[in-house]
Amino acid sequence: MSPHYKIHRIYKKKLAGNTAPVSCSLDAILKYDSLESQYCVYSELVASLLAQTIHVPVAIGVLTKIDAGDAYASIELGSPGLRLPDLLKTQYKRAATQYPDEAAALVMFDIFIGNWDRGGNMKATFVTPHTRMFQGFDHEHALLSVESDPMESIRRLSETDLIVKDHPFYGLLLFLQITKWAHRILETEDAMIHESCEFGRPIGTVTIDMQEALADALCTRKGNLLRLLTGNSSQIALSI
Amino acid sequence: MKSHFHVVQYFDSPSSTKGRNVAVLGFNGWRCDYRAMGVDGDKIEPAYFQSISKKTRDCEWVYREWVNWFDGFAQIESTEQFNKAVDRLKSNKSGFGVSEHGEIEIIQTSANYAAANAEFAATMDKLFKQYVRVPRISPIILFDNQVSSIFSRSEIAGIDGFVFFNEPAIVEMVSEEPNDMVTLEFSHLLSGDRPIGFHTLVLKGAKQKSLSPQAERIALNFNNAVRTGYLQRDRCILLCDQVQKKHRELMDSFSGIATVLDVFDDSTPGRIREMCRLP
Repeated sequence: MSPHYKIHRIYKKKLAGNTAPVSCSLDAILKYDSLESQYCVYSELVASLLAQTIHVPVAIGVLTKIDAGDAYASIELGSPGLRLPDLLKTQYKRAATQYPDEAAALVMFDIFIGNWDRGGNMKATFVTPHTRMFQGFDHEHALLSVESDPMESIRRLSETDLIVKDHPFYGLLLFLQITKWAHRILETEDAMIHESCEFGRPIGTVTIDMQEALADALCTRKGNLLRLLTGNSSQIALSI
Repeated sequence: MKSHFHVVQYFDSPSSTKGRNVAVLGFNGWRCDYRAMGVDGDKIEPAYFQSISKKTRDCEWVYREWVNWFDGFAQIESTEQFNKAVDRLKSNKSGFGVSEHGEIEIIQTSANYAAANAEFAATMDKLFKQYVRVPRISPIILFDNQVSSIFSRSEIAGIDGFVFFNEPAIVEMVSEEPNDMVTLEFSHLLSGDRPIGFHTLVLKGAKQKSLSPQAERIALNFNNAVRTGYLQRDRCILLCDQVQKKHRELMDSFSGIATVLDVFDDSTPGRIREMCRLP
């Protein structure tokens, strides 16, 4: 008589060695400071840390080193052989419909950091079942680069200036959807904003003093967000 | 009136100097259009693109997203938006990009709107034929895509009483006798009260020498699954492509061991649903 068997366990076949460290390489866009964009690395790094703190969908990146100094590697979204395309203007409406919460987060985040250059700097999946991906990327024209002079950028951020005059999702989202994210940013503790902006050492040409001043300006700006939103609601939100 | 065209190339790394032409984009002053590898009207076959390089093999879903992007591109009606879309492609150093100085300008001679559009479409077809060499599809890629498609169409994921493993799965069976464990391996598995185990075998393009050991391993797995009581014989499923004459003997060896289903047969998703007793 053959022995009686019972199921011990069922599991997905795993690749050997996946519990131990395995070397891998990821495709990334490497950004570094240049004459055209002198505070690019710092702006990208701070935008990424703030977005992670607030849970805004922007591309993940890391600070790294190249010969010329600090660099920022923004990890690409897609398959190893091919990254997702950047959004076209003809796709903005569909993105706002398919990803309303993510789009609202990005609108409010861009106003918060003064990112006037969102344009098509977004990637999203539209036709891949069960795979929701939506990310903004490229923040080199925000924060210290709102203006060509970083101190002027800090001044503008601390005042009640919308800065973002145009945005792919302006007029496509409900006021309430966007307000939710203004509250989220408003509720972020000052200490967390300071931690996202200050590194205890210069990053490129961004001094410790500039880092502190930017953090102070953002703490002031978060308190102005609701007023900015209400004052510009006809421009920002979908009118019903 | 001048029409503007760009050839989209695929570069598998930023250091690649030679790209592979995959699509043509065009703008005739009031509308955009495209022709892309594996796209024929509403029908998309990413397997052509997947077959052009080792790196593109797993890019099926991203390619479908790019085709969706091309569709979005075809809705552009202004020179400004056309230039912006092309400029973004020019800045791409890997993946899909267009050459910095690769614009093709053709003067269209048609006088009226309808004739100009027809001339534009004909030029797109001509340029696509001229610049984009459509590769032979790798049988393995075509097969893998078809397997994904039949599981998707059979809608067996998420049904009550079953857990679907849409990837290789292991089942460990133990007996009352000490040290007796039988490990079963499946390419896909629907576990539950009456589980269904799947294996795949790509016949097209495979050498007989490599098929025999694969077939033996699959038969052993199914036999062990039945012997240990994990699967009933009629729930051992071998998914393969069309059986040619030269494979007949090999496939006959599965008689009484597994039910053989052709993944390219339209009735296959229905037969899988039937086994799960789905309406």
